[in-house]
Amino acid sequence: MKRTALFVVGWALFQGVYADTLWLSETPPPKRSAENVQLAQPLMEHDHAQHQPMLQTVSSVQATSATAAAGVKKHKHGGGAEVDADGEVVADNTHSGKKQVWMRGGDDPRGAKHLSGVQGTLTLLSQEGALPSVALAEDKGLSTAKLDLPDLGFYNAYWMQNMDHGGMLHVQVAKAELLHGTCCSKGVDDEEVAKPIINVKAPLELVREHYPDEGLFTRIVSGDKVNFTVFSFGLPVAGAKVTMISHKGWQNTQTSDADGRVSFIMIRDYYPSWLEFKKRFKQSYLMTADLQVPSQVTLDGVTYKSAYYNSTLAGSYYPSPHDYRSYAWGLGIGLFVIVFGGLAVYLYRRRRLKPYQEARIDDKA
Amino acid sequence: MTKLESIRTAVNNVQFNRFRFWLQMFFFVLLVYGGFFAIELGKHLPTFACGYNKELRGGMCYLMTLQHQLEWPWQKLFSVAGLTVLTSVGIFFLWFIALNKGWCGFVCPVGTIQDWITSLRRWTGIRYSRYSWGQFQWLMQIKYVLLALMLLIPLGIGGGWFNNDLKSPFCMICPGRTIIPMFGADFSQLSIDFSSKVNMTMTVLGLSVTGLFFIGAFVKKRFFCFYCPMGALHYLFSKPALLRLKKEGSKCTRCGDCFRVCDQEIKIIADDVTRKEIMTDDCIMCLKCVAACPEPGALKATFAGIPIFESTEEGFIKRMKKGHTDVK
Repeated sequence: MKRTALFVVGWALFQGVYADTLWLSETPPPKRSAENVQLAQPLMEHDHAQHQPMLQTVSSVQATSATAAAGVKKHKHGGGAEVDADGEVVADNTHSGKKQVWMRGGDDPRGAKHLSGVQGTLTLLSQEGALPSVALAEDKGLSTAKLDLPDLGFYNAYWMQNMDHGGMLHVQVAKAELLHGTCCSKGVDDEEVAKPIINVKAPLELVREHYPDEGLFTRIVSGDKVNFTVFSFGLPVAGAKVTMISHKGWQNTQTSDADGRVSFIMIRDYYPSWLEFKKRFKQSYLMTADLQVPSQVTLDGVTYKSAYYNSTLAGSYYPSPHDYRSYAWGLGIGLFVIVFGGLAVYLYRRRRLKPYQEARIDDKA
Repeated sequence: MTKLESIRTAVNNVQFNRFRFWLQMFFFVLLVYGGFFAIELGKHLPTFACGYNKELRGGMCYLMTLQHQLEWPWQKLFSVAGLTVLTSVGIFFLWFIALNKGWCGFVCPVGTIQDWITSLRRWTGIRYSRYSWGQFQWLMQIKYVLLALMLLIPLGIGGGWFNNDLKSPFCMICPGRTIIPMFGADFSQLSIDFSSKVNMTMTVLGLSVTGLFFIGAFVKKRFFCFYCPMGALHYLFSKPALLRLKKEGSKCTRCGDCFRVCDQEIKIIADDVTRKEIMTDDCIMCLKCVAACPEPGALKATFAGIPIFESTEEGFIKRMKKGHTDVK
């Protein structure tokens, strides 16, 4: 009883200190002018057992100001998503095998800061197994990693950090599910390459359940029901708190069931005026999962009194075709043309029809 | 009679309409449902194997690939990457030279659908329409205008002149986009896209053309082929093609049977007795003219110079006895 109370107090204190959510994002910092660049500010310091990243936020602007100033135009298939001045993704790089991910901090998928000074390596898993790890590096003042996805299919990238808070183990897992996709390759067994990947070494992991017919160009759209399973060391785990945060910050929290599953409906939170509507508007969502383990835990040969696992997974979704497509209008226009076109042909033919006229020639005349 | 001669006689006497119907059916299944049989013939086919038929198609129309490639930013298009475009043209050319415009007459799924609509009209007993000579002369230019727009608009997108929503402009108005996916139970192309003014305009245009396609194909044989930019593109590449249509003017009596059965109303096939290479830009190489010709050797189809099907009196009579209904 005393031990549980201590754990709760410790965890509450810890939450107060370490509130920022760390996640891996494919969305690059927005392009803005160089005047907006801010200096890096220290965010937090911790007594870390293994890795001791010194996290700093940098206004996301800094990173690409040089690129923007140089006027470099990124192409949508060129290996990096294209983001406008407001940070909205205007072209993604699904087709590319070259990806770049950034460390971000905060639970706002739109406004979360791109971080600097984050250390560590990204573990990269494919369907076939582990690929060489990639170290986070500072690029234009931001912590980022460039990844090569050799074959078509899904890949998982993990950044993990273990911390010891007075005998309590805290593991942060930031995961990104990356897709080297294609709309057009027919030589690929979509079902096979679209299978989700599970990391048996991750203390806590969120896995998005792929749709039964999910291929390499499937997009989640608002209105879809998306299922996730929470795994701990490769096994589904019940009782984990899972929160989904939509593009504009709408949140919903659920607790994983006995199979580790949670379900969310991707709500529509994109309401621009018609002239500003973009059907390929890429919206981000952020998933977080928290699991407290009040009992003794041993990790990498070290025993801890308790543990707190936190995992994040970011993804994207698009406006639903139901928002901008109309079958009624389509069929109506098609039928209108058929009916009036048919009528026009009929009347044209009828107008050209010459009535029968018998010509009699009087030989005697 | 040698074995070769007997084979040749059998081919020349073939019930051509029936043969063509089943060949068209075979190619239709191959291109529209080929994916179901794990068949993939690539993205450079010189025929309307629609790319919007995502799951089931057995290959893809080259016009879609070409438009996509021409939409590349100029910096990329006019760099080493541009070699990809040339490679694609080369692959298209290799496919094309095998059958020449026979791709239109025998393989094209959109052409096959038009032939089915013609059969429906014939069954109802409604007569078909023909263009006047003046209309023919004027309308035959449209396919070149469409071809030019199909090339220039994507180039303009790459150069930043046009909105990206205009991409694949011909696909957006092609009836293949709206009709062929329906054979795979995909009706998504029958909707109007209101996401932008350009998308709305293009989808309205596409469904209007689809409506016109059904009306036109009902009253006019191979209605859409007359305006098809793929046909115009074919003609630009047709000189070295292996399958050819030839005419021996000295054997022609100008009876006009070939003109009467011609779905494309090509007058020159009957009138011109001097030219050996009789194929024109409007020809779809359906070879119905050869089947309808009563004069031995006046019209023939050759493959790499070897006659494979030619007009014979015997073949003509056999086909007439079976009821040659094409003129209806």
